[in-house]
Amino acid sequence: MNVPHKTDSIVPDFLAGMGEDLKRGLVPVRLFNNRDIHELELRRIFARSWVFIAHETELPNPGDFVTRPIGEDPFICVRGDDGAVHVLLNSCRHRGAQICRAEMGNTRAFTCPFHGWSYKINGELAGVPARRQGYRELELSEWGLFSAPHVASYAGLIFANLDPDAVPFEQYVGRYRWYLDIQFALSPGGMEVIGEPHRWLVDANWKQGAENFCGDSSHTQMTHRSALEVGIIAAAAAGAPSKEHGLHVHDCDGYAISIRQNPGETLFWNYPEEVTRHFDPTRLSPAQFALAKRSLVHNGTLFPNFSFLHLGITDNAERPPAGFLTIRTWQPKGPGRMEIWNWILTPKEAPDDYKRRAYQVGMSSFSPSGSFEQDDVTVWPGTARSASTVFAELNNVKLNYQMGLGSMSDIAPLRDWEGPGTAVPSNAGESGLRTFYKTWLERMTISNPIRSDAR
Amino acid sequence: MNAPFDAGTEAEATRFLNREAELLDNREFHRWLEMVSANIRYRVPVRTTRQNKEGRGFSEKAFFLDEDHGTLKTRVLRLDSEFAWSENPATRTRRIIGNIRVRSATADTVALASNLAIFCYRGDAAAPIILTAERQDILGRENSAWKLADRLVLLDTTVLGMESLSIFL
Repeated sequence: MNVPHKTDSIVPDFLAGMGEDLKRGLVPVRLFNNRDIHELELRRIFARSWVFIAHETELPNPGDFVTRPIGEDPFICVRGDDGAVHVLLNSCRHRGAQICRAEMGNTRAFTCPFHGWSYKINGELAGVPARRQGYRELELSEWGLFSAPHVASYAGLIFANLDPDAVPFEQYVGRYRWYLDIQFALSPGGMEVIGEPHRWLVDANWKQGAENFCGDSSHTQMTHRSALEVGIIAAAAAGAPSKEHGLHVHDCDGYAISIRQNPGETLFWNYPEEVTRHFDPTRLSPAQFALAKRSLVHNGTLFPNFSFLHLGITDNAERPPAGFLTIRTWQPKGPGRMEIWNWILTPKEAPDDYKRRAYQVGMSSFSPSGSFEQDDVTVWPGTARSASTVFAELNNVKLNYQMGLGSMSDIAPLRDWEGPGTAVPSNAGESGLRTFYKTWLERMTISNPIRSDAR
Repeated sequence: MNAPFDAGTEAEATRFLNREAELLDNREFHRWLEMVSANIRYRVPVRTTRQNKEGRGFSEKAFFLDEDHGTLKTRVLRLDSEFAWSENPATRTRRIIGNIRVRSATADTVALASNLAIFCYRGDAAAPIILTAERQDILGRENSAWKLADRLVLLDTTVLGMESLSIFL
């Protein structure tokens, strides 16, 4: 499958100085709602990055499928008879109709409702009607469904990459895997998705969610003040910026993570003992396991639009907190709109009662009805609105991402941090967000930004 | 539960649903909570588009809301805050309840289904976001007053068209 490189749309001129702007902590507001940016992102970012598409536990059996977007293109993610996962373009090779019109289910074949071309679940063309009368020379083997040239499965997470020349997933993730392993590989069974994902529309750009999960710790006190007031989260987990609990890691091979911890305590994001006893120290390095043990909150984004949040919280101040993991994708739907997809996970070994409890707590905080998320998505559309103003265009308005930059802060990065990336023992900073935009700019403005050396 | 019911039961149930809608539209959430049983089970399942042979697509594990009295109360307390930005300024809602069907009734419980349309106006948007659903409710009589004991809201949409579900259904 060829990804057209040459048809890239124009790079908007306001990106020309963004590299220098970023060094000063400035980001042009227009990138949050701009047609040219959006078109370029679909081609240079979503068609060339490793994009999260599904979790293994959503597809336990052969024939299980889900339909998911990559950028704005429709794909089917299906488990084949051999157990392998196929990522197929949801478009009939005959005349382009969508061959799969359900969002999930189980099937033995995908048969086009237009003229009846029928495909096996691995994407091969199995048959066409009236073959002897009309298609005597049709080579079925040449007309299978288009598929993503690269699919990778890591710790239950399935990613696809539409770039035939993409670097391997391991190389794409780089040293950030050190942090991902802590979330996804702590117990032998790994993490398991509970139920079907939430899907909802927000009139904000996809980057708004992606950057938020890179470590926008200082918004918690204001955006989420109502949730803090009702006492459903520990002060250390969501409280004011502090040296004691906050840790921001930036420039970890292009990615960032925000950590809240309580050194000396056994926390594991408030998972109860019936769950934590399955956490296996031999699966991680001692430093990784020690970090998991003292952690209250971890949140990060694997560029471009896959984010995770691991935390313990409750849905009622009279009940104890419960740990859970949410993963989400911020799917672009035009320049000023996104669809959020949200999954809630627990370790596979957790008892069923705990899974249900963790789901309730996750839903109550981070979902369309979540007491935290409700207020995020209320604020974000404002930025998309500002981005589309004539005023922003005429004045090349730039936003302030300077928190904690250089001499703005007197807190130096840790010299002895045991993990990868640059770790700052403070969450009064926006270094993770600056990392996100550095990565974004690099991939937007270099025509072949993450090409394999072997090419 | 299969005892015969009469027009009086249906009228009482209708009065209950209309009163509830009035309180919710008027944002009198604490008074609404008084109509909710301490043992309430309140669920809004996630829905997915499925082939017809695989059913109607309502999840058994995933929910937009899965509440008991304590969590509903927590949500109401949060909405009391002036910093609950999703509802300050508030969504202006108008609930239309119709097609009320009493499924079964005894002296102390009524099982009923109804159709719900909620028109939601936010900010200066001139057009509403509309949510429609079937409600399946059980009302229980407690100390001579009807209370909402169980609610299952079956949404017609799979993708929520509103940025936050910060209202009660």
